[in-house]
Amino acid sequence: MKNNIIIKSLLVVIVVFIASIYLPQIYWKTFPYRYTLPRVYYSPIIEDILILKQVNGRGRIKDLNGKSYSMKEFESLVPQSNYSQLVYDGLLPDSVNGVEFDVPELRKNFFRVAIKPVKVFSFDLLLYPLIESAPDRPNLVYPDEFFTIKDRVKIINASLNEENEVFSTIFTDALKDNGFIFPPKKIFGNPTTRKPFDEGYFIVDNKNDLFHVKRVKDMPYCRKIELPEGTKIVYADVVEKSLQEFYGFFITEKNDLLLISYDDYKIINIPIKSYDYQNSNLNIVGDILYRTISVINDNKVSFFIFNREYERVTEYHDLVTHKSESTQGVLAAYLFPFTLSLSSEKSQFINFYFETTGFGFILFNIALSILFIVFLYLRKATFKDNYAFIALLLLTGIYGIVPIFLIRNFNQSNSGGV
Amino acid sequence: MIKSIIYKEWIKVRVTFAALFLLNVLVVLSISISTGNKFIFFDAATIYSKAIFYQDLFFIDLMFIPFITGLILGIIQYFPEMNSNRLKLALHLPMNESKTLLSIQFFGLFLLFLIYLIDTLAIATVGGIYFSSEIINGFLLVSLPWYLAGFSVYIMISVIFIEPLWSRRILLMIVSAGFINNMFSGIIFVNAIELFSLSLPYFIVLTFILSPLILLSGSNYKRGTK
Amino acid sequence: MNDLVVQVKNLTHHYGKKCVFENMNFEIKQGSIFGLLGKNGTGKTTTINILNGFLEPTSGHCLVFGEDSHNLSPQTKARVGFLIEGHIQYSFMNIKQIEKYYSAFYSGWKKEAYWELMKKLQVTENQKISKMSCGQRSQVALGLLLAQNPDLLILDDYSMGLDAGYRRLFIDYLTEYIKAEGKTIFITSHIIQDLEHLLDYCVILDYKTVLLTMKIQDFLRDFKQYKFEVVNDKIELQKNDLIKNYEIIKNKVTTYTFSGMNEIESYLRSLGIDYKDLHQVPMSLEDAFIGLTGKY
Repeated sequence: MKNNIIIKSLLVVIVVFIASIYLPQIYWKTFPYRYTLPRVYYSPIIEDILILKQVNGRGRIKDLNGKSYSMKEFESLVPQSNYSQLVYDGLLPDSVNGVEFDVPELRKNFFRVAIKPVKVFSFDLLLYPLIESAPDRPNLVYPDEFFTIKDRVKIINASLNEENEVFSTIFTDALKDNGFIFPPKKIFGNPTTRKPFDEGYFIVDNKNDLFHVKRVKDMPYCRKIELPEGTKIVYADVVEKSLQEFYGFFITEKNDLLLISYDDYKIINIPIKSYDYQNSNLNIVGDILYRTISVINDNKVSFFIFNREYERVTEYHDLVTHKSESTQGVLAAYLFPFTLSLSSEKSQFINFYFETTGFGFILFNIALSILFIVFLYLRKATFKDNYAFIALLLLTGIYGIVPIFLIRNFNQSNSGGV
Repeated sequence: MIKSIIYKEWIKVRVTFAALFLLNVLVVLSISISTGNKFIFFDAATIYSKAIFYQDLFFIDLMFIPFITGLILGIIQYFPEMNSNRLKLALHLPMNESKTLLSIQFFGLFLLFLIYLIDTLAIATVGGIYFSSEIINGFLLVSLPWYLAGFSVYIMISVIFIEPLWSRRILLMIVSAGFINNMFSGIIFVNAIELFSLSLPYFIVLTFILSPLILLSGSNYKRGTK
Repeated sequence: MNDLVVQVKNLTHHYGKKCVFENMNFEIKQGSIFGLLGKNGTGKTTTINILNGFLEPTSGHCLVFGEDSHNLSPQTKARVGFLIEGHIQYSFMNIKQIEKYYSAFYSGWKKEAYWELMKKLQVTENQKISKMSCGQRSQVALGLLLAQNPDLLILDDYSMGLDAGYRRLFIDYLTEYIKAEGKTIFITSHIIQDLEHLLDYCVILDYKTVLLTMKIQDFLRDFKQYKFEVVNDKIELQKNDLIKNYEIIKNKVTTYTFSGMNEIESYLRSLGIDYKDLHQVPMSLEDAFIGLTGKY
């Protein structure tokens, strides 16, 4: 039977699939939702938080009591972040809170780290470059050796396209000697030579132990790092900066933010709240005085300010209007029963990301079905033949419109049964 | 009887098939030569790093070739069937109509499969000379959606050409464009190796699910229009 | 198994709001030669498309060998030969390839019938169909049909694009073909003159209606043309049951009717028309066709 209900259903599935991807995309491109997040700074002078918000395209600075400040006032109140401008204006203080404000030191102590879900859910590299961390030259050199670790360490020479069995063996043995269980779960590091020095890679083995591995004068360096019981590292941002205070920031499965310091791999747990590594953006800004950590969620932002010993100084929370609460968002909830997306801001992988936004669409779907019934009446078609289409409109709403017209021609009175 | 249909299809497309085969071979050849040259002028480590960091797929020139191959084969196979309503000849044969249409389509898919297989083998062989197997396997994974795009466009051409109603044809074209666009969707990361690793099986299924839609068009054709 | 090859019952078709024909009824018995006649646009191709399953009618039934024409089984399709308007075939094949192609589908394929025709064309085996003339292509199509040897031959306007020679050739072969037992032929055409001696039955279509369904013999016997002159050249006539059609040029009137001369005379007298020289004019099939359907 050529005219099969199965094939027609297939068509419906495919068209709804395509429609649910592209119609919302077109909608959001036409009515984009823009928002800006506040930025939070701690002023050591007034010992309080200053909030920088974009209002109508201009920056407005207020403190927690609502008092406004000008840009110039702000720069003087937060000298640890604005030192460049203050130097330019000749207003840089000699010291603040007993800490000397020497420009090279200020620069050396400044860093920014951004951790987003898309980085957490990203691809493993096919091969990792085995960078020599102690070269005989002032700059790092891109190596000819690349490695991959499955059930052993396999090191390949790119120029020969052959495995370097000597290297493979000594590195595999070094890992094994330190208790590494193959295959590894994750490898973290910065596989680039555009950094001041190289700390190699931090590798999570199959039993969730963390290892620090690097190449030192062509020999393997491997240390197992003692983690608290039951810690599973899901992401690490290795920071290779001249500050050399810590190796990097590590995120655990339980959403803890850990710092591993240069001081014998001591683990420091930085206490933050509201962080969910699968959905939140994490921004860490460090300066000579403080560590400011912002946790950005869909509807809330949280700022945590710590001193250099990672003791909490203060925190601040604010609400953010989520896309779904905007006018466009509310309208979208009526139009689209669900949204399918093949890409996500929160992951590098192409997959089927399915999103629903409340039940407002039911009203719209009912309205569409009624419109369709009126249309049928005007075309003098029988309702009995079209029950399935009415049901389709009730279920999939705007997405169901195209499949209906692909399956049935409403110009003739008996064109195609379902 | 299916053999006879294949006989006729082969006569219809053999010259085009040869041309498309040649096109693919030439592209692969030019890729091989330029890759070899690259390794002469640059050091291997640099090329490896570029390959790994999503900046340079040595066979990126191949990206749209499977799509073009599928498109041209589809047009050459189905346009003569629709010209002057010649599809009536095929549907009038004393054979199950679904079998007739699917035989024509499967033959085309088979020809595409042959070409894509050669592409893959050639890339794997040439690549294997310069790149380690880890990189080659990753690259082959990247290219799979391109072949899926080729199969998809071929199948949708068969569905669109046989569909008699122009308004439906246009709707189908829009839907096809949307569908095939997905295969090239990580276009910025087009060479991101594992981009499709989670969703590839579903895309393979989705692509081949398109195949029976030709029967829907066929039954629309038999219903007639105006 | 009854010997009704084709049964058309209350066949109605509309294209959108436009009605093509309503309640068409006819039957084609085995062994007859059936013609579907009508001017262009009266629904001949529509009927053919429905008969071959390429159009779903608005309502009504069409049965071929007892099966619904829209869903013929492969076995039944093997018994039906179909000539598409314009002798359409695959133009990318040559005459040898196309014969080989079709032969695989029909048991009892008579290749001699095909090649006999091809010899007459004096073309090589490798002659591509696309490079043949209209007339030569019609021979290829005919040859393929004869080789298939179907029980029912449906010819949609076999005469399209053919000059007189090829048209006559076609008729000659068809005449030979029907001599074999049990063959049934269904022809549509708008060129009537060739078919006069070939057809057994005809259905004549007009815009929206079926004008008649009858044996050719009966039609030619019963449908008459009467001519007369009038003194007063401003007379008016109307089409009705008696007068199927008429034509008035100056003072010469031509009427067409299924009735006899007597009925015409009494009708004219009842209208008070002063006529003279009323006489019957013999008609060919074409004349009768035009008489029934009109010149425009």
